[in-house]
Amino acid sequence: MITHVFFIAKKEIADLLRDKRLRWSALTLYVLFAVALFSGWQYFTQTKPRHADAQAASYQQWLAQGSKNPHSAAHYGFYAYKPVPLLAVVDKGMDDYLGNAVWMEAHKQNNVSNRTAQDVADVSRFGNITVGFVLQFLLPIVIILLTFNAVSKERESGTLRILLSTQTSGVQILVGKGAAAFAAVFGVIVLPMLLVSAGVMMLAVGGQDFVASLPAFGVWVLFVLVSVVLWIALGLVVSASVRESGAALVVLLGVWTLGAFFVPRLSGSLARTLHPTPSAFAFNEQIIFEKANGVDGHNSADERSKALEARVLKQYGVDSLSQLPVSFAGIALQEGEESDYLVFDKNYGNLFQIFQRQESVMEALNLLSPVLAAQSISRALAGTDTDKHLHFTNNAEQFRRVIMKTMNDDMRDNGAKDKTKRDFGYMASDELWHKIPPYTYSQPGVGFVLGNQVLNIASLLAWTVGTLGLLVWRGRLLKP
Amino acid sequence: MLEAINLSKTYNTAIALHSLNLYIPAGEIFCLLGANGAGKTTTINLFMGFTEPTIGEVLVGGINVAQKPHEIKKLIAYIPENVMLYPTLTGLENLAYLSGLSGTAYSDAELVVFLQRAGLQKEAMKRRVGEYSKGMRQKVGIAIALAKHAKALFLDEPTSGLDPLASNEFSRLIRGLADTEGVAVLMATHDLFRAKEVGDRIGIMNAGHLASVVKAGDVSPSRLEELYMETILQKHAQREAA
Amino acid sequence: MFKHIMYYDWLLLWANRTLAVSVSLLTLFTAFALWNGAQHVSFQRQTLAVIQDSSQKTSSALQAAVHEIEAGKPYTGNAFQNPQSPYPIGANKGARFATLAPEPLALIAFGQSDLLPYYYRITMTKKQSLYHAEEIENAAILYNGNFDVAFVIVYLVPLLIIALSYNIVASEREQGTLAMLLSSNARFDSLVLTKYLFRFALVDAAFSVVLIVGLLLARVNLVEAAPQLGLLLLTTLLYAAFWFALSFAVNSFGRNSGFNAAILVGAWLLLVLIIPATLSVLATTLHPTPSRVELITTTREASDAAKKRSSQILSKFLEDHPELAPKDKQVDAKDFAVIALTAQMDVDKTLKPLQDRFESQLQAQQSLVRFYRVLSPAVFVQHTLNDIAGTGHERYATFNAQVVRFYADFQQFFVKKIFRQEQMTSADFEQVPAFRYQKPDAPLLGWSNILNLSLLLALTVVCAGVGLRRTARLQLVYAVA
Repeated sequence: MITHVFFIAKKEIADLLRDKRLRWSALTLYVLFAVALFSGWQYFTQTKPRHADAQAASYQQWLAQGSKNPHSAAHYGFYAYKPVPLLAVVDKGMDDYLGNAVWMEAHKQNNVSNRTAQDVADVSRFGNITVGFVLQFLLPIVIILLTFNAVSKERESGTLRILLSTQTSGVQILVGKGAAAFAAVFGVIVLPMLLVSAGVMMLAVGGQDFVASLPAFGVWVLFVLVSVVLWIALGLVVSASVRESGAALVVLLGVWTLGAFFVPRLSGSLARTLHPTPSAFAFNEQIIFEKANGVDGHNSADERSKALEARVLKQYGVDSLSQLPVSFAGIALQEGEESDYLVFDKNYGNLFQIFQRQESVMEALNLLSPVLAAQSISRALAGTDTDKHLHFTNNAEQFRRVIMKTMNDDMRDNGAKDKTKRDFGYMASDELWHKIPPYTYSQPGVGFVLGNQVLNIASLLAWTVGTLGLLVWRGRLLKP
Repeated sequence: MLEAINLSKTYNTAIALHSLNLYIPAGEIFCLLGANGAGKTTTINLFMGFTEPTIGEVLVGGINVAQKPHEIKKLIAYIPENVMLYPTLTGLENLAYLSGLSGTAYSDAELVVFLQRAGLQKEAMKRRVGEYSKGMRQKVGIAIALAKHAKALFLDEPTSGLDPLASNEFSRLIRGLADTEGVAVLMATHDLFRAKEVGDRIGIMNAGHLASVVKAGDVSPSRLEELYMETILQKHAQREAA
Repeated sequence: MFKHIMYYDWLLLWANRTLAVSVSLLTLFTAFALWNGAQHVSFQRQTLAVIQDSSQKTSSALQAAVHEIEAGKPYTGNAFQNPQSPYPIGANKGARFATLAPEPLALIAFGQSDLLPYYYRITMTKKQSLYHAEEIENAAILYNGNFDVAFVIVYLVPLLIIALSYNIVASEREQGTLAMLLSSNARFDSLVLTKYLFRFALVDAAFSVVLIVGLLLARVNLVEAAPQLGLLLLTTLLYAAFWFALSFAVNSFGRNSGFNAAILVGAWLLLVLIIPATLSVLATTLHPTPSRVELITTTREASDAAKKRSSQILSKFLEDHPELAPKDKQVDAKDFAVIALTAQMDVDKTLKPLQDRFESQLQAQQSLVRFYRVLSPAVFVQHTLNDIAGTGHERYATFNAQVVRFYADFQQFFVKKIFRQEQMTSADFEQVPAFRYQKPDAPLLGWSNILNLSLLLALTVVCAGVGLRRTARLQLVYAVA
């Protein structure tokens, strides 16, 4: 049994290595891989220090504010920049379309904005070549070219008749051919590309950071291999099922094109129509309205401030604000922030929910094609997808809230010490600015990613297992 | 009607045909016998202008094929071993299309007559060719030749794969064409019996040479077989000796 | 003879349902694309209508408030909110919107319209905020691109053409009918050419009809948009012709249909993906735009510096602009508005070189792409479709340039008021500059477009020529051997 498979695989590998198709397609793929790796490397090595420097500069600007009222400092705020993950070298994902920076200032949760795509020539809308793209989108074409006539060729030349008349079963023939194709594709194309990519990543950050990214990279490689197996199986199934080689090729290219070009646009457009996002204008107006009138619209800022005043006076047992041992402004500002949190949590919560609903529509349609599920998983592992972006957004917002609370609390506690310089007249010093640590963001682990990608992983595995099942079934039915 | 003068054809280094001299007058059926690769199909392809000669000339109706490959197409018809037609069209539609391409637009009634003369059953004419047997498709092929009023007809292994009855019917049709319309026929075949049956003259080819030509009426079937074996073995022996 | 061939080609296409399937798919795709585009455009129009409505309301409310004060009702509110004071009006409450309305045929190509802002809130402070404006959109949708008519034309029409034509010659050989055709006295090259022309005419006619009907159903005023529609149909015609011609050339080499399909899909991939993506890498490598991150840091540094030396800046400014000093009094150097505004103008001045570099680098990238797009008809056709829809880079660049100029005008209006210590009168609200997009004079069919369309035509002719030459020499033997 195994020896049969081994014999077939051995002969097939020899065939494939002699095949001009493999040579030419591998060569083409290597050229594109070089372009992809170069652009990924360039993106990473330029953007990472730029963001790190800007982050440091922003913090320095914060520290160098000098003597200032804490609330002025809160308005000044600082910026959080989204660090570029190492795996962006191999899959830049949607980074160009996701924002890079967010201003953390008083009273406002800002959008993470500044999409790189706005600053590059419109031709980038045709798509980007990344290493991930080469391995998940273009490699399947090479596999299709290598496998589409694997069975029909033998059938047309009559050798299938001879093969089947020996003690070899159809399943063994298909498995042998599959194993050979895998070995050839893996050895000639995938392995060298992975090694070179890993080398470039290591050069880009040094060994220690590279090791930290190894788990994600390892899982990423695993999924690349799954998709290779899947496409080989698919190619063989179609080759065994469709009588004419030409027709088999057209069917396979059709499946590929459908997934690579048709479904993404279809699903995006459907998602937008089913779950429309508000315009930035409407979104901001809504927030301004709710901030003024309360989340429920029946609790105006004036009323809230009067109620707060009464409550604070009662708490400290005094009759007027000027008698308070603390700064009322500090309390009021923090109170204002906290009531705004409700507004932000609601509105951004709704917005992110819309995004997530849109993603669900797209994920559901990803079932139509294994390319798309693989692509989603890849960019999730690379940390260049929406989930990671929202994770960053929330993280930055939490940090903003810490800044605001620190500033307001300082104003509350110290803003009434000097009666002549109460509230907004109070000036804080460097010591306060140093209480805020530099902003750091650490990428969520592989577990977080896999948790978010359950549907895509299930879809990819379903495709793989299903196709392998079909392969065995077609093998049993294999007739000359 | 058909004439080959000192005709040779080489593919790269392999000699497919060597100095063929042949004349087939109108109304004669010339059968080419020979093993696979003897040069029969090459000869037909050269006559029809499907490939150009390396040396020598081919004339159809006095016209040089190499010089006016297009002109001679008006005079000829071709029936390959397996007449392939558009499977989604009916026999009638196939005939209408292909005869139309040759420049004459016939009415349906006229086309039916051609098909009938070729021996196709009337009820079959309106069925899709995909459902036809090999013999039925061959009849459409003959109808195409008839509709074209071809002066020369090339047949490549026309009877292989036909049952004896269909084969016999086919031979009678070709004979009739030669006798009544004065068509010159060049027919390549493996079938010694059929060649003797239908042909006026028989040529035996071996390794690109037209080794011998006999009149069909002058030889008995067994003599023809002997001659065939001799030609092939002789050449074989010469090659062995060399 | 043409009629004869076309009639039977029609029968053949009809019988194997290729044509029915292709045309139905094309209709379905176009319908979905138009619907999707129409949704997007109506969303933009609605947003702009809401903006216009809301800014009109704000403006008249402010005007009414000033009117009341002028009529004698004293203002009691926060001094920072006083509608008579020009600073709060110019810096916040009296913000104007600069908007870019969609063109009549905007629904055919999303272009850059989902990515680039089509409205800006303009105040006299924070020019830099113009660079941070963006519309809310799911990045995944932006990344995937849109299912619009341009997508149908640029990506799907070629695939349908490939499906309809990849085996025109090869199938004759594979089903064995080539022998019959070659032995007939019709010229095989003109036979194949006729088949191509016929299928081309069918596809183009079907697509044009579907498109026109669809646009009418989407209530596009086609009379008004006649030039755009004309260019759209012409571009589609030439692009479809190019793909048919390419298929003809590939077919004429007499290889089997699988080979043809692989080559054609490879060419398709090269033109719609690999060349554009490589161009994109090239453009960003050769002409990198400064990062917006850099803009943020520089802005902050500039603002901090400006605040620290605001009095110096102010006196320098007044030396340069004596006309802005009030006639009979001194400029109040302690006035918050004056300080803030001079600081802002100083920041604007500091940022100008950086912002110019953004524009010039982006322009350089775009010029590079415009030059090298000759390599891929897909890029060029996409650009032309964007121009037709009014969603291309150029229109947004023009809009942005006008917005920057408008910002200057708007600021200037308030600068005069503030420096001269004048108050806003109710009549002044009519005088505040309003933005109106000026359509550039450039014709729809510019030189670059004509050049590219001619190039497309030339490519078509070359491919068809190769096809004809090689088909004429096509031999049966070659196939048998």
